[in-house]
Amino acid sequence: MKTGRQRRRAPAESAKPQMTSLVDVLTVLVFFLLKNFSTEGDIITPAKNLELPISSSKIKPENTLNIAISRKHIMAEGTPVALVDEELGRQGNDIPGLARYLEDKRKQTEEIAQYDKNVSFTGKLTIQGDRLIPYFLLQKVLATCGANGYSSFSLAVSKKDVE
Amino acid sequence: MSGSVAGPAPGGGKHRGGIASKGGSAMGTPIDLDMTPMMNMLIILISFLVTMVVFTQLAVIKFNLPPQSGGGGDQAQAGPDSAQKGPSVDITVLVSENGFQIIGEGRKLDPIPKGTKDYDYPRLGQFMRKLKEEYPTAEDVVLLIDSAIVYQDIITTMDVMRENKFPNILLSGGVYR
Repeated sequence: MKTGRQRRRAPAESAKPQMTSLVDVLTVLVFFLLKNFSTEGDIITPAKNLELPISSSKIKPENTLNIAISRKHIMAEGTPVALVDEELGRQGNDIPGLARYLEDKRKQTEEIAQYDKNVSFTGKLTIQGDRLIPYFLLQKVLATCGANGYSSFSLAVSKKDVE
Repeated sequence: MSGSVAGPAPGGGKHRGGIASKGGSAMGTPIDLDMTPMMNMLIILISFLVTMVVFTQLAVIKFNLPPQSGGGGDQAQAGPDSAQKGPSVDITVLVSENGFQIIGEGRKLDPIPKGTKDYDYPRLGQFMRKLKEEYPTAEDVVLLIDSAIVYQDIITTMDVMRENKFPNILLSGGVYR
């Protein structure tokens, strides 16, 4: 009976795929991606133009002030504050552009802390460095941050794939 | 007889079939449920989520500057910890372009030469394990790094330290180029 109707209908209308299974698959996919999405949490978005070094560390990143060192720029919260080539040529441990930014940021936080007890200056920083930058540059950045009161560092790394 | 019996039977069958199919469509079972908008939405959702998925899993390595460079932060946590565990052992790992050299408690261990391509991390791990057996309370390691060493090598060296239970890594400063 049924088959007879289908056979009669099929040529007249367009072919109908089995929607139910398709929807099932898509729904499962959506849930899977949503779950991934929420647990991932975009606490730190990896900066563009740099490859993080690979490490076996499993400590979760925190939401802190973000310094990125790519092969061309030193960026604070996404805005370039210094050029890498320039800093590599300069002697000493100071990076003026970065120092200015950090000082402003610290003053800002301390000022807010006067009015809001929930805010305090912790001196925490996350540093994202390209895997090919020399230690000289990293040391300059660390020294500059240290000189401006930021002394608790998190070095961002990408996790090793082996689980 | 059989013909007369057979006669009404197909009619009854048709009739019953009619009812069944009517009932089926009334209950909305298989036929005309329009899934197209649903599919559209799901496909858009999936493409959106796929673009947002982060494929690189991020982690961090934490460390603090030595106290003289500025206070605050997590140093309060590290302080009492190391104070409890008695006198700290002074272990320094020198990382240069030629390889590693461990200097600790006034003596130098054999240098670990760099391989043709990469540093000899397994051997460094062996040395650190031996040191850990010798000084089970030691947790601090000072890394003295040459200024041209690449970031990835520093991170991997830190990994080796952490894997061998030297969690407090200090970076030595003041090495000018």
